Amino acid sequence: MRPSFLLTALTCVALACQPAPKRLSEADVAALRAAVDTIAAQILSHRDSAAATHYAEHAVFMVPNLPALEGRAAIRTWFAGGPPFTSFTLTPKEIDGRGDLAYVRGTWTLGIAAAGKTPATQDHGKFLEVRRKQADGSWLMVADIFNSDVPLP
Amino acid sequence: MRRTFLLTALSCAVVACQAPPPENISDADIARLRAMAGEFARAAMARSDSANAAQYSETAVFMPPNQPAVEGRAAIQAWFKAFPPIAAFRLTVIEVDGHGDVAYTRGRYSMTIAAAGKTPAVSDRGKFLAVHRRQADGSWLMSDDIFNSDVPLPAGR
Repeated sequence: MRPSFLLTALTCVALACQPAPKRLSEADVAALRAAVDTIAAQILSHRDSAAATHYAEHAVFMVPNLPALEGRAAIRTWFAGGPPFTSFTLTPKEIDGRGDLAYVRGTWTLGIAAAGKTPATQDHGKFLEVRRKQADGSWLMVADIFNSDVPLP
Repeated sequence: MRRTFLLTALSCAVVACQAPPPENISDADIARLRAMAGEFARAAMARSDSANAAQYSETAVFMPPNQPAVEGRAAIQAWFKAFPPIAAFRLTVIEVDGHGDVAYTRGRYSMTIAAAGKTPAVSDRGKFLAVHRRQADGSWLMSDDIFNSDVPLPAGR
């Protein structure tokens, strides 16, 4: 009787104590979704410094057709050098993570106004970003990459 | 005596369980994820599309440039099967990190597509980001994989 009780008790404790990776909370997922919405609005309104604050100091931003941009300052410069957008959306399709690590996968759309001889441009594609939770609870991107769905001419 | 033994055993179990869950992935995980990149490159060179596809989860999303995302292992395998022969392919993992059963790899690629008929060989280089999930058997499979080229588009594009 006692040995079986002991075994049962130990088994219960062992099962209850299985270490499991900590999943993102609903609040984390909501914060990540809000961060994506915010940076989309900042990029659309050309608030480059604000957009760059979503990246960690040593983040890597991987833009098509040029080498990776390393560091928040370089990322801000790239945003500042871009043409004005007439539209820009980011739509998360998947948000997941463990502990202080999260990723967001999604799609984007972009409209660029005509300028001089350059006609208006519409583009769309997909993105993947990896974020780290900071001491203040915010989530900053450490790696960000995107590409277009549109075939090359 | 038996009561003391029971209390001691339960106390030990509870104390042992106070240890925090594993956080960052282990050195062995990092080594495995790095090794997988090498295996992936060798499989691509050997046109072993099933070996390439085997590194993706059943519901993985593969995101090559200039086309919509490819969803699911079967579609990913078909994509690799249709890819032209590769004369050279290299993946260089720059960063591997993770937490629990989620990890990511970031790196660079270089690739030469073999000449075929009147089509000359094409060289490309760029960067990638992949999310990996640890499976029940301890292996890692990609759930998300995206890349783009470093090479500027020709003028006018």
